[in-house]
Amino acid sequence: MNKKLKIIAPICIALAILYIIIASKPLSPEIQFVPVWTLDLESYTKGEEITSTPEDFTNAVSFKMGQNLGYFTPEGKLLSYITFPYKATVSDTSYTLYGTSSQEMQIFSPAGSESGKIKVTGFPYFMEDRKFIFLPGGSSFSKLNEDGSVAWTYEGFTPITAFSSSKTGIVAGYSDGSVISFDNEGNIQQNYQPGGSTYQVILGAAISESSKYIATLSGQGGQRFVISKKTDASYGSHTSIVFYKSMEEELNRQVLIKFTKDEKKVFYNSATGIGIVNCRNFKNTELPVKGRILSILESGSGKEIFILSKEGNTYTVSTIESFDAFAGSFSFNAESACIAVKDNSLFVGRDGKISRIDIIHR
Amino acid sequence: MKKLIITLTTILALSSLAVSALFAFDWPQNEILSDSFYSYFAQLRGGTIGTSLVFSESKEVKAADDGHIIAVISEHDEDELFESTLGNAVILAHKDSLVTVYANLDAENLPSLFAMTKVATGTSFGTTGTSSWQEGEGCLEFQVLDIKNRTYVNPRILMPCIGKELPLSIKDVVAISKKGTVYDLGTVKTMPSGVYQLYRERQEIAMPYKTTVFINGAVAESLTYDTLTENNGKICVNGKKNYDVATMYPNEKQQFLGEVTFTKGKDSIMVVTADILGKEKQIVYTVEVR
Repeated sequence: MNKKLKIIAPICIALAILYIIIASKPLSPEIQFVPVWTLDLESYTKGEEITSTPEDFTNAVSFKMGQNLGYFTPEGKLLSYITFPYKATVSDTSYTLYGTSSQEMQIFSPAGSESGKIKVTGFPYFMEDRKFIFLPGGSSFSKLNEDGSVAWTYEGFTPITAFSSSKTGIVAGYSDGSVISFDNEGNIQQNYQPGGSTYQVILGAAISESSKYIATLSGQGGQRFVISKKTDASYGSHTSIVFYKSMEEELNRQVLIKFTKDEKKVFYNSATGIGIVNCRNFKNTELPVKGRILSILESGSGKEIFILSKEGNTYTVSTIESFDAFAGSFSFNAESACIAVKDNSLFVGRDGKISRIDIIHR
Repeated sequence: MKKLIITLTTILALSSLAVSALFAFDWPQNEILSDSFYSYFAQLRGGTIGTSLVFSESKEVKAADDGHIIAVISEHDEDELFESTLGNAVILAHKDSLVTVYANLDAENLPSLFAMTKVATGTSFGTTGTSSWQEGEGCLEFQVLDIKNRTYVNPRILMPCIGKELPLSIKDVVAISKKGTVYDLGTVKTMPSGVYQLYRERQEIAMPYKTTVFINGAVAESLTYDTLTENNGKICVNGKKNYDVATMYPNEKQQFLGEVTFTKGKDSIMVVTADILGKEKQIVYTVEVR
C-alpha cells in the first residue's frame, strides 16, 4: 500500500501543477468608474456669469433637470443655464421652450441663437438632430425641418401612446394596438398589429438605426414584448415577427425601449426591470432594476449601457456590460436627476450638480 | 287610487329605464349644461379638427362606463419619452369595441391609476390639471373611439342631453370658386356657373350637429358631425367626400358647408344648421347663375 501511494501521490501532484500552468489565463479587464469633475450649478443661479466661445459649443452636452436645462463641455465648463416655466425639449443640437398652447415657439442653438421657429401649435419633441411636434388631440404629429417648418403631418384616428425615431425612420404606436413606421419623407413603411392580447395597445416602441427592426411592448391581458423585422423582396416588403416574449407582470404605463446603434441589441423596461434581447440569436436576458427606467444611453464604444431609474425620490444609475451583466450601480436621493453620455464619459446630474465619471477597463 | 299610483309609478320607471338604455355612457363629470363645454367635437382646435369634447370647468372625472384601463399616459418631464398633448390621461376599453379617453388629468392621481385594471362606471380618475395642450378655460378633454370602425365618435350622441343648446347662427355665407373668387351670397345677385365651396362664419364655441345645403330644393351636401374618420393620414369629416382640416377650416373665421354645383338659371340656395336636439336654423339665398 505504501509503495502504491509513493508512486501515485507524486503523479497526482505533478498533474495538478501541470493543470494549473496550462489552465491559467489572465484575468479579463474590469470596469472602473473614475470621477473626473463636479460642476456646481447653484453658483450660476445666483448670478455668476457664464463665459463661452463658439468653439466650446462644438462638442456641447445637453442636460435637462427639473425646470432647468443647459449645455456644458465634456471638460466641465458650463455653457448655458436656462430656467423654463412649463415645458421644454432639448437635444445636443437645439432646444425650445413651450407653454400649454404656444402658437409660436423659437428653436435655439446650444449657444442661444435662434435657429428656427415652429409656427404650429402643439408639444414639440427633439431627438438627437430630429424634430417633431405632437398636435392637439393626441393622435397626430408632424415632422419638422431644421428651421421648424412642417415637413409632413400624419393624423391618426386613435391616440399615440408610443413614439420613437432613428436616423432613417420613425415609429408610432397607437392605443388601438397598431404600429406604423415612416421613412424620413413621411412614407408609411410598415403598418401592423403585434396582437396576441385581449386588449390591444402599444405602450412602448423603438425603431432600429436602419429601420429594419421595430420593438414594441404591447397589450393588456397577454402583454408581450415583440420584435418585428421588415424584409424587402421583389414582390414588395413585408413585416414578420421574429421574437416575442410574454410578460409575467403587466404594465399600463408607457415604457422606454432602445436599440443599440449597431442594432445588435434592444433594451426594454419591463415590470421587473430591464430586458435585453440579442437581435442576432434572439436570446432574452432580464436584469432587475429598481423603479421606472428614465434613460437608457449607450457609451461611445458601445461596450456599456447606462440606465437611470427612479423609485420614489431614489435614483439609481446602473451599468450593463456588453455580455448582458451588471457592471455596477449606485443610488442617491434627489429632487431631480439626469444622465448624459459623450464618448466614454458618463455625466450624472443631481439637483444642482453635474459630475463626469469616466469608464475605463483595467 | 292606489292602483293608479302604482300604474303611473311603473310607467315612469319604465320610461326612465328606456331613456337611460338609449345612452351608452354616463357623463365623465357632473353638472353638464349647455355651457359646460369649452370646445365641441369637430370644432377647429389648435389647427386640427377637434376629436375631443373639452369641458370648461374642473370637476371630479369619472369613468363613463365599466371598462378595462389599457393605458395611462403621463407627462415625461424626467425621461426620454415624448410629451403627448393629452397630458396625463387614462384610456379605457369598453365592450362593443368602444374606447374612452380622459385627458388633462392632474398628476397626483397617477400612482393610483397605474395600479388600476378593471373599473366600474363612476370610478374616480381624480380632477383635471394643466398637463395637456389646452386653450383658455379648457379642463377635461374627453374622447370616444370606435376601434372596430376606426372612427372618433361625437361623445354627445352617446350621452343624455341636459339643458339648452348654445344658439347657432348662419352668417357671412360665401361661395368660393375653383379659381378662388369669393362671392358673398348675402349681397351677390349674379355669378358664373360652376363648382363652389360654401362656407359660413365659424362660431367660436357653438358647433352645429348637422349642416345641409339645398340647391333648388335638392340636397347638395349634408355634413353630420357624429363621427370623424382617418383617410390617408388625415382626420376627416364625412360628406360627399372626406373633408380634411384644410377644407373644413381654411382659416379661423370660416367653416365649410359643402361643395356644390351652380347651374345656369335662377338658383335657390338654402343653408340649414341643426343642433344635436334637432333644432334648426335656416337661411335662403337666390342668385342668377349665368
